[in-house]
Amino acid sequence: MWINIKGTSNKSKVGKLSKFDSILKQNKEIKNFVVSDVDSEWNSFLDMVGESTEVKKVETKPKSKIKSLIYTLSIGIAATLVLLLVFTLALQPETKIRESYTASKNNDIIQLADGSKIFLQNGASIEYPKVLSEANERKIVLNGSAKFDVTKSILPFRVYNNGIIVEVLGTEFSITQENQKVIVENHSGSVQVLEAKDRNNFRILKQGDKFVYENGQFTDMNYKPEPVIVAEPVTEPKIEKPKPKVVEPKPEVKEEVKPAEVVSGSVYTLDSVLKGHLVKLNKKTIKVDKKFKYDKDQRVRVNLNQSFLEIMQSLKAQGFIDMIPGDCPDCYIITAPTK
Amino acid sequence: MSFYNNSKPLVSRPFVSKADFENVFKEYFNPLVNFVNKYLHNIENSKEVVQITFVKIWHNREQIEIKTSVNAYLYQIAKNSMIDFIRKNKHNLAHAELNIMQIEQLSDDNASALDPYIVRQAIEKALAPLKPKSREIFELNKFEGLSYEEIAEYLEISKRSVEDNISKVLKHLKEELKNHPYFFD
Repeated sequence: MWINIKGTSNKSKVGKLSKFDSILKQNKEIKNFVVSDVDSEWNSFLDMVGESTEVKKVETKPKSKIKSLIYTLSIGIAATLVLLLVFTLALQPETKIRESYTASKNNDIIQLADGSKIFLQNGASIEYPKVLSEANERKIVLNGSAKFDVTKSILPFRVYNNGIIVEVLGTEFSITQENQKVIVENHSGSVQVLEAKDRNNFRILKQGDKFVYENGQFTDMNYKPEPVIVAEPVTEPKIEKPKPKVVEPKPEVKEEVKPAEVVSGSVYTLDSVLKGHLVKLNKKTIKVDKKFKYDKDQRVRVNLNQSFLEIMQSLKAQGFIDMIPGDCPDCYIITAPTK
Repeated sequence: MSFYNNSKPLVSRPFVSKADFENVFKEYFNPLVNFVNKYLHNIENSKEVVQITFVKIWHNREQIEIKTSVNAYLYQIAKNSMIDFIRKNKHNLAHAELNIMQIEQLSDDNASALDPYIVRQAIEKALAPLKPKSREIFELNKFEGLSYEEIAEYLEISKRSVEDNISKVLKHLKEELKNHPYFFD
């Protein structure tokens, strides 16, 4: 695979090029290399250490005395104008873009510019946008409990509360805060709940779903009875994977059978589970049979905290897929469900 | 000025001048974040740790004199900053004790620990102008270890397309990185 280089020192250059391939091999352990904007990180750093980011611009010096004087005068005039503008804006009471409010009773209602309504519980406080004309999101910061009736819009509606972000396009949902615990319940539409510190930790709630978020863990409250199951994750110190594995056989939902497997977890599309999770994270061992034509938008319920094999077995038990061994010991090929 | 010479420091006091400090910051920020992320598994926390690392260096920059290399020095400070961060945020972090143990087991004297990340940064910069599909094919082969057949199957394209793509990307990288000290000493 080495490129033929013309020139007098071919051998040495080719020898050095092979170092490239060995370096690439070493790099395999770095799966996803994240690239941040170093200029903005540098500016953040300067803010942290109390250094000005404007130093560079001031350092340009004009050459002659007259030029220097003109330069200084123009800086002075510009600064004066800026100060005047700032004072003028500061004196104007109506320029606030975001508003804060604390509810003094239950079901205190705030209505946003787009018609969305927020029903605050007594003591809850929110910060919300007064105008939406130049916004790229409808951002609400909530402390406490509230219910939301969100008008559909292309602008995402995001509620920031105690370490999570609830994101919707238009739906009805409620957020209840109990100390460090946050309960999100979706009444209508579709809602995505993300952990603010790690947005890869998220759940999608469909209508009727209810989740608790506490100490970095999501707990599905949709299978409510069985206090044993509900109590277990709460009382146990979390540490490893939280889920009490599939235990109780549940004769609920779906049509029939469902052997010993409890269908726990969250709702995803079949395509996102197969291609976006199973295959993506196991490219060498799990494949989807090319002949398997499935409805990509088919909704399935799985627990992504389980092992890949358990997830595939769960999908198989629910009748969405089948699987056959692949070419290697731990390899599988996902196929159409056998009837 | 590049600080990538890992054998000995080009400048023994590289942090005194603000301009030099900025250069070091911008060259090492992303490699350090990704190195730290290997242990913290959270990019935002990793960025915070790296910022803290540079703040510590900033406050002592007049006194710092490097006897080994910039790589080794930054590695050592970042390692200590990681441990401090995990200890302070133990109750919010999963597997805190395990992570501290892993980090403490890292050798103190490891000048080349950051090398793969520095190299990867150079490669990422060189790959940036390429089309996303070409990059993906290259990364699947070189970083995720998939064979040409596996890539062809995964992306539902021909094996020949995969070969052509990788060949083009390698030529491009060779051209972009021909003067990089890590690839050509």
